[in-house]
Amino acid sequence: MANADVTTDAVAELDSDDVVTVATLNDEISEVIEDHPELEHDYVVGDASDCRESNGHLHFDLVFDSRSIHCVVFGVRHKSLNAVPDDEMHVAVRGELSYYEPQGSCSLIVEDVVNMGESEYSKIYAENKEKLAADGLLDDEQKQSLPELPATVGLVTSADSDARIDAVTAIHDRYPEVDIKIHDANVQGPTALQELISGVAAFDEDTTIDVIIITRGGGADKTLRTFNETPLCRVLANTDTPTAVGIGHEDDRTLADGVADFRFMTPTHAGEVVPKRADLERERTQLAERLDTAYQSAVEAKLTASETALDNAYESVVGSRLQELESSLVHAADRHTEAEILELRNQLETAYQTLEQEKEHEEQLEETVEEVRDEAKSEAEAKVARQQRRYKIAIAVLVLIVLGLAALYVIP
Amino acid sequence: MSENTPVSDKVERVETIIEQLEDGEVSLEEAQELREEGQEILADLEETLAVGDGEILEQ
Repeated sequence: MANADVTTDAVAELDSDDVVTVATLNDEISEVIEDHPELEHDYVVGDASDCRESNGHLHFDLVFDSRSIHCVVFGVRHKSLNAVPDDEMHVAVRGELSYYEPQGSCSLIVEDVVNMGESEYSKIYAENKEKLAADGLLDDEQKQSLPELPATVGLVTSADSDARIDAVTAIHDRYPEVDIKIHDANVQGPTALQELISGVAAFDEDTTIDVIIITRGGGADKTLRTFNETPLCRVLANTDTPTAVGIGHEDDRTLADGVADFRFMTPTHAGEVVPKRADLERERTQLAERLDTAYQSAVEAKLTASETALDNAYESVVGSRLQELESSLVHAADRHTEAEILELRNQLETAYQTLEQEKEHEEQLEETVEEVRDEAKSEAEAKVARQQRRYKIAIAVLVLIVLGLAALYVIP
Repeated sequence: MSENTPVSDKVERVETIIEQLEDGEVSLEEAQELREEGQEILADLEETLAVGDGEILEQ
C-alpha cells in the first residue's frame, strides 16, 4: 500500500513503497473499527478496575483474564447508569467501541453498566488474604522490628524506574552513609512474581543486608496484583531479615503490605526505614553538651558543698575555740575577781581586826589612863588627905597647944 | 557497652548518666568516672553512626 504522506527520500531509504505515518495508520484502524459491525456487542463482561473520575467523567478498566480495555462514562450519562462500577464489581458494559486516533487507543464509550456481582479478582484477593490470615502471616505478632540503624539496605525494584530513584534519594536524603544494594526486578508482568521472589530470597541470604525493601510506583490496580500473590507474600513473611514494602500510591493497599514488617506509602517514603542522620547527630551533640553541663554542675555542687562544709567546720572549730577562750577568760576573770575580793576581804578583815585591836588597845590605854588618872587622883587625894591629916594633926596639935596654953594661963 | 549495642541503648545509658550527675548524689570520683563513661559511649556512638559509604550497588 503506497502512501503519499511519506517523503520519497524515506521511501527510497527503506527500500519499500509501503511506508505510512502514525496518522495514516490510526486513520486506517479507525476505518476498520467503523467498518466492522461485528465488533459491536450488546454487552462486554469483565471486572471493573481502577475506577476513577476525571474532568467529570468516570473512567475504569474492564478486565478479564489479564486483558483489559479502557471504558469511559461521560458525565451526562453518569447518573443514568444501572450501576456505578467499583473496583470489586463484576460488570456487563453496554457501549460503543471508539478509537481515539490522537493516541491510537480503543475505549468503550459506556452507555450503561450492569452489576454482575463480585469481581473475579475480588474473590481471588479474598481467598489469598484468607489463606495468609489462616497461617497467621498478617498478624502483628509475626512482624519483626526494623533495625534502628541499618548499614545496608536491600532494594528490590525495577532498576530503571522512578521508584528506584525516589527510594534511593529518600534513603540517602535521610542517611547519606547507608549503603544500598539494588536487585533489579520487573514489578509487573509475567516475570514479576519470580523476579521479586528471587530478589527477596537473595537479599535474605546476604548477611550484610539489614533490611529488605520492595517498592514500585503507582499504576493501575491490575498492575499491582503481583503483590497480592501468596508465594511472594509467604517469602516476605518468612525472611529472617526485616522487610518493608511500599507499593503504588498512598491509598494502594496490597497483601504484601500486610505481611511485610513495615509498610511505607510510596517509594518517596522509603527513607522511613532509616533514621535521619541529622537528628541522630543533633541528639548526640545535645547529649554531649548535657553530659558536660551535668558533670560541671555535679562537680560545682560537690565543691560548693565541700566549701560550705569547710567553712562550717572552720567556723565550728574557731567558734568552739573562742567559746573555750571566752569561758576561760570568764573563769579567769571570775577567779581574779574572787581573789581580789578575797584579798580585799582579807585586807578588810585584817584592817578591821587591826582597828579592833587598836580600838581595844586604845580602850586599854584609856583604861590605863583612867587607872593612872584614878591612881594619880587617888594618890593626890591620898596625898591631900594625908596633907589634910597632917594639917588636922597640926591644927589639933596647935589646938591642943593652944588649949594647953590657954589652960595654963586661964586656970590658974 | 559493645560496638553492637543498639544506638537506643547507648543513648539511654548516657541519659541515665546525665540523670545521675544531675541528681548530685555522686562523689567527685564517681562523677569523673561517669563523665568518662558517657564520653566513651558518645565517641563510640559517633563511630556507630558512620555506618557505610553511601554506596549504591547494583546486584
